Amino acid sequence: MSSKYLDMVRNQRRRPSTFQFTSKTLLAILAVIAMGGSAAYWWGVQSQLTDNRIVAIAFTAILVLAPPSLVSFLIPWSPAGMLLQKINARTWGYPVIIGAALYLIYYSFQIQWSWWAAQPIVADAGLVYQQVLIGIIGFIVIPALLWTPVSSDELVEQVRQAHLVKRYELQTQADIAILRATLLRAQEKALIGFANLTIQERQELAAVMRSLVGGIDNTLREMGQTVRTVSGVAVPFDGLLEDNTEVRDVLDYITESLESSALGVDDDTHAEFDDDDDQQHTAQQPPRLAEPRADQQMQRGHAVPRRTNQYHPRGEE
Amino acid sequence: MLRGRRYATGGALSADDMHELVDLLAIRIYERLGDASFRLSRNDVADLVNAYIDDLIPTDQAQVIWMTWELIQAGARESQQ
Repeated sequence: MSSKYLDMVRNQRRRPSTFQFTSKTLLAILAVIAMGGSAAYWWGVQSQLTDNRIVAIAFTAILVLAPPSLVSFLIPWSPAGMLLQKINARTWGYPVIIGAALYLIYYSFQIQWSWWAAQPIVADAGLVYQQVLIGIIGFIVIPALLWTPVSSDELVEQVRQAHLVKRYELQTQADIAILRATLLRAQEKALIGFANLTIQERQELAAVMRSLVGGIDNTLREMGQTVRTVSGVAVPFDGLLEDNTEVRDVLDYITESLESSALGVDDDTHAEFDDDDDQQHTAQQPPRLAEPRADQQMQRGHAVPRRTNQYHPRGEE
Repeated sequence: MLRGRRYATGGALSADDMHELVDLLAIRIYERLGDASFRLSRNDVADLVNAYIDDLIPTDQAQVIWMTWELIQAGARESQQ
């Protein structure tokens, strides 16, 4: 069996580590430049607001680092990040992060708006909002995208989820195989042991088998929806059993077998009960077949035990 | 417990599924630790993967750890050739 891991190790050995310039690398460079610009901008603003250089440095550091790091929790851009966000959303810390991030964005917006509005050329050209939005994107959004927390653990969690979905699929296939075997066995038993059942009971048995499969199908569908709700991973369980032609064929065959054998013994039943029709209705015990069909016994090669609770009209008991 | 290539009984993973899981775990460990992963002991591998296989039956958990470690050692041999 081939191993992707061994292929990867072989490729690494053949190809010495070469630097690959990807979109992620470009984003990283852009984010570093943007944060440098952010530091320069906020230092310019904060140093004007106070003469205390330490306070100005502290506020500059806060405004450069805090908004991107907080916003990064709000804008996951990978499935693992989405999962992490869903998990974090259930904690008390998450509303705090949302509130703090929104206030920092608002503060950044206000300061930048005031600053750009004070620039005569920008104000005359009516480009204040555009400049502010560029600043928000550059100072906050781009660094936030770079910092979006996706650890190796989260990636392994992704793998685990994929593995779980695979397991569900395989388990369902195995379930179908087991169900098929069970239904076939039930069909065999139905012709042997259920020969003593009444017509209504046979029909009921067929209906129960159908509803059993339908119930399993519903359970699978609900399970798939739960998995989809919790993890965002779609599990194709819809109509897995009911739409499965093999299962449907087996069910049809069972129903047909039961009902046809029921019709076959129907005549015998009437023949036996016709004589004492009135007494039959007065009997509390439901009518039963006196004997299973002899030809069925011969065909199946099984001896059907003789019933001890055969129907006897009250007068004869 | 019977393990077939595609199906298994008793809640166990099938052989194909087991190999796929082991392969993915080894890839993740290699991506995270690089060549340092070749020096991991079996207990180290167990510590790293235990959290991700706790839903498997105990036999499968032990087997996954062994197979992952074996695969990493095979990778170490490949890289030395």
